[in-house]
Amino acid sequence: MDCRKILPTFLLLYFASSISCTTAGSNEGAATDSSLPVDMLLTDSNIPMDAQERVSLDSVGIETVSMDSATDNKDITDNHFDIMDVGVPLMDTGIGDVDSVETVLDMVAEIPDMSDAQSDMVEDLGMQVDIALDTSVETPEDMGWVKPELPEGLNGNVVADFPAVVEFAGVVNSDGLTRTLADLKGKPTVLWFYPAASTSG
Amino acid sequence: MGASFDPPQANKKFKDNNNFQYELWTDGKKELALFFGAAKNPTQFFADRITVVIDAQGHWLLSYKVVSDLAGHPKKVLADCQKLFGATP
Repeated sequence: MDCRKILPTFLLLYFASSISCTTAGSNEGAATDSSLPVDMLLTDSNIPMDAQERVSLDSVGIETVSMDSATDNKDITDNHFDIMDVGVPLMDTGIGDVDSVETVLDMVAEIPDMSDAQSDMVEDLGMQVDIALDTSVETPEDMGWVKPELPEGLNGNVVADFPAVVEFAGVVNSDGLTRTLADLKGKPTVLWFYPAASTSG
Repeated sequence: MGASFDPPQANKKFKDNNNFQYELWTDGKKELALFFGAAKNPTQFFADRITVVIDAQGHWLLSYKVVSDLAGHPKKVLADCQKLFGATP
């Protein structure tokens, strides 16, 4: 499946407010186009959908979110895509997951085709998705993070580019409490993997 | 932190019996193991014995693959942590 052919038929709703959301509790400086860390909007004219277009899309079961409402969402402070079809979020990336065009294309490739009616409607409205992520923009997690220069003579193998640990959702501690990426932040962590509990080593 | 694919109950017993002063995590979906290379695929039954060092911002700095020197391994990791962070996690 060539995801590049599918891509224009989907609404990729990009929520970006990395700058406007950095001032907690302030609604001033709501994201403008120039504040968006990417060059990607829903229409080729960079104008949010009007009400009629929204109704038209809703009529065929395509959920819509305006850029204005998206950028007003102060909870979203990361590079973040929602890909929706028939009103159901098909994919919701985690923080920092969207770091390249290839990442998005890989995600879209996993989504089933839209119906013909939906596809036609999107095309009629000129909804063309033009993704041009600026990968030079740091995610909030990386802001303030400086790639370290590790000293010589370490026993461990230095990991190339020091990747940020991915979000995870299915981890629990031995008391059954959920553990997330946040539990790996705030202080350095040594994490050791072992084959099985109660075995040597 | 330690992590394996064991159920929480098994890890709790393991932790209590050894008086570990840190948590043992159940990576049931192998999310962490796949990311760090402790599992080569989602169907791998046991995690490989590896250790990783992560900085305070959640960036993976060091890796120790195929830990064979079980007795000396902790000291090596702690020595690296001293160099990197000036203290042990």
